[in-house]
Amino acid sequence: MDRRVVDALRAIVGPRGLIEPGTRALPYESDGLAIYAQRPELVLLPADTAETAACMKILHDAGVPIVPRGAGTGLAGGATPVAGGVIVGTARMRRVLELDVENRRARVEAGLVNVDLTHACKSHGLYYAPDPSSQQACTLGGNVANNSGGPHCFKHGNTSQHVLGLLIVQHDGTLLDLTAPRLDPLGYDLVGLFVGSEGMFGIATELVVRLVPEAPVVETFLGIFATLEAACDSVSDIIAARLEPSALEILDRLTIEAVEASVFAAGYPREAEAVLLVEVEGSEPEVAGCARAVRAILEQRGALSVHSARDAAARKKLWAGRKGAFGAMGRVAPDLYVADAVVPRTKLRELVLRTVEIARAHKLRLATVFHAGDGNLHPNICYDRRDKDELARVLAAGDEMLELCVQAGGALTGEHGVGLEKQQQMHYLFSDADLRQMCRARDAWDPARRLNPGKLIPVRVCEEMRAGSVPEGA
Amino acid sequence: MTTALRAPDLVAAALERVVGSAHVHPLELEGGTRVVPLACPAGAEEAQACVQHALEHGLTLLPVGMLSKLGWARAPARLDFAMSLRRLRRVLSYEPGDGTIRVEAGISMAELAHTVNEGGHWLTPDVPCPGGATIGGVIGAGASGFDRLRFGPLRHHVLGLRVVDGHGELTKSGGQLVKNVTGYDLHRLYTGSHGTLCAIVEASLRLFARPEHWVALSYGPLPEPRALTAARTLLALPIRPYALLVRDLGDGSAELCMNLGGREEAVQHERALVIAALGTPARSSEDAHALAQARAWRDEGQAEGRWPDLVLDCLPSRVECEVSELRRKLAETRVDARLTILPGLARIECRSANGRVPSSISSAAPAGLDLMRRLKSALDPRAVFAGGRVHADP
Ligand SMILES: Cc1cc2nc3c(=O)[nH]c(=O)nc-3n(C[C@H](O)[C@H](O)[C@H](O)COP(=O)(O)OP(=O)(O)OC[C@H]3O[C@@H](n4cnc5c(N)ncnc54)[C@H](O)[C@@H]3O)c2cc1C
Repeated sequence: MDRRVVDALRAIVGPRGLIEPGTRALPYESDGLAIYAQRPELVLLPADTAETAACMKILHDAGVPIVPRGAGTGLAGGATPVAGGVIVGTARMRRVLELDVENRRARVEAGLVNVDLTHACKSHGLYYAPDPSSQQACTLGGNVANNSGGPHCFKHGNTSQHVLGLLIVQHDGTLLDLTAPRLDPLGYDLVGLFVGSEGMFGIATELVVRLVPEAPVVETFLGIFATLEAACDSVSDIIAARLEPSALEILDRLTIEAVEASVFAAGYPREAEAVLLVEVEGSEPEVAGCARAVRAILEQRGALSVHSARDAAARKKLWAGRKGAFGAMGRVAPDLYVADAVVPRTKLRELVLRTVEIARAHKLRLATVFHAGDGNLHPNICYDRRDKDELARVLAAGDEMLELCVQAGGALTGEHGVGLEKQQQMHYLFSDADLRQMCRARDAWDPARRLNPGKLIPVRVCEEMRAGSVPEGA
Repeated sequence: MTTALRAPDLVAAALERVVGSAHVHPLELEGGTRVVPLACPAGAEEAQACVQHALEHGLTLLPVGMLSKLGWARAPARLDFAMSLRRLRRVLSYEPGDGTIRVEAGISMAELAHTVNEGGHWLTPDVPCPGGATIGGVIGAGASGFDRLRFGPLRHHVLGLRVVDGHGELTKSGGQLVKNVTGYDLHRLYTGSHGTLCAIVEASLRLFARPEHWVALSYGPLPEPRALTAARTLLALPIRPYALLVRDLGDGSAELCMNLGGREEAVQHERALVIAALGTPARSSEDAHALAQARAWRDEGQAEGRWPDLVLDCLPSRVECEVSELRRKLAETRVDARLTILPGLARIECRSANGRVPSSISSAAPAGLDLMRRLKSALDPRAVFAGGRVHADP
């Protein structure tokens, strides 16, 4: 990279904010999807919006590709560097700028770790609802870019329902301030469009988010099942009965075994084929009514036992296994391929079983833990990436699972995003015309296509548009 | 394109060849000062053919439903014809077990609500005059309902859209799934774009449980500041009302009205909390009466869905200050106006009786106008969809 550009950037961010290729840059070579890796030309860690804007201006003038990055916990290669590109990370922007308890909102920097926001407002009886399982590490900026979900998004909605405003550094370093308190957008919904744009529309440096009051009563249920099918059927019944718990999560047998053998052991019986966690929240009568109905469904579906707890410590224990599931799976194999697909909730049982069959056919070990209430499957394949043959089987199985889910009326990703990983599979769901329309929206935000290039939209579609082989108005 | 070829009767004749002569009518706009042809295609492909016709001939069109929300945005600067999607009325897929529905854009809100109610669901938004509004029009206008306090804005519940885009292509984003992050959320951009970017032909929506029981309560007449203080007390309670509004009764007095819904025990519990905090209500009703009452309050306050002359959004803690500031300005400028205050949403709507609210108290230009222009020209480079609706530009 041109030394003059590097020096100009260093003058902005200082020595702490700039990492040149070498050992310190190694962690930036991939995100949580380690099968894709690329050396960044440079890693920039600006301290605030002004520094980010100044860096972006220089990179714009120099025509350098940029990959925004939060904590790098993404699972679709979204924050993986691109050849010849620079990483602009938010790791040094972690302040809570304003905690407005009265109006139940907070203004924060994008690099704030998800759970730290809840820690900051907990004493006021408030919390930040979207709770990805990675919430101890992932940043709110990353959550915005991926429109992340979590167990409690079943009731409270994904990140997009909690973002009230954004301060965005645009491709050329100019600022777009969308933080004015407005109930509806004045003009087009730019915030709504930005959320989920996977780092391709700009860098969000500050966020205004909604905080939710803690519910007066919370009750957690743990249903133990002899079959995965029965756990899935219970979920479909709960949805069909129009009950509205706040979370509905399933763990399968391999996950249970891994959890119980780890420090996250939650006392789940190892002979169980599946456990179903259900959380209900609200006023006393709301919780009591919903809890009665949930328990009846679990029992009707043949749960071996149903445990419940209201006390915070006891509930935490029931959740411990779910929260620690991903960490615990490290015991099963060195690598974990976390597939992510969504299906209609009436087809949970059928599709979960089909993913099990696909893994079996490819001689792979599957540990399933997923946001069942939203139909968001995570068939996690345990493997060793040093074994090339196994890696090839993992990718083939992942692809088959996605195709199957799409054919059943589902989609490629419920929360992890498309990134590098699923770019080629976008065709399962979208026509070229659909993808061209996305490409046009991207061109409006980033005409030179320097922000996170090569992600989300199949490169061919954008290239054909640029080359003019698809006439405007076609 | 010559002006002659854009003459309404020539445009109408051409559209008749696309949708059939029985489905093109004259449409009077702006109090009859402007008449354009209104084409009503039978399906998505005919709608696409209308847009392609406009593209080929350099015409500008405005997609509409039943025209109830035409006045919610600026009149288009240029318009050759309107295209109503009202003949696209099918329910394409309703899975009560999944809590989602996919419908054609021209289905009326009344028919849609009826369909999902039968399946035990509730459709948000609950809008005024549902028989005269289509789902496509409601989404295009970004109209949230009186139940917004409970469910949030409409844009959170539009799961996916299929549209005829500015390139004359049928394209989609999102899907019929409650959770889905595949691709950009273009449907968020289209929602509230007032027909300036595309014609919506299909929509997928998230549904909620139909409340088993309703309660409507009102307090007043009260002096307006006292009604606002009472509203603040209510908002601190652990209740989740469907609606909460402060109705302007004139003469400085107001009525605080609320609507509770859900399972019966839960609703009665919330009602008891409200009464413990504010005392016995002046009026109270239950069940179907309560829902009808709440809708009547809304319809009266919102003048049957007439778009307010002024909408003020603020932080919830600022509602009382903003109301008194607005009252002062209205008095100074001698504007006779009614306010509908939605304290839970921190929104103040102002509808004047004797003329428009003076522009000195109207809202400013939006942030990101340049980007909006770029979006408009990227997605609709030939300006086939009438612009100038959401702001002077896009
Ligand atoms: C164990 C584990 C469990 C997980 N569980 C969940 C879960 O339950 N739900 C879920 O949704 N996800 C989950 N994830 C995935 C991941 O944590 C989320 O996608 C998260 O939002 C990524 O945040 P991050 O800060 O790590 O972002 P990164 O991985 O650094 O980046 C993610 C994407 O966002 C872009 N980006 C980052 N910051 C910004 C910014 N400020 N402005 C613009 N673009 C930006 C990047 O370019 C990239 O495309 C899990 C991951 C792991 C490892």
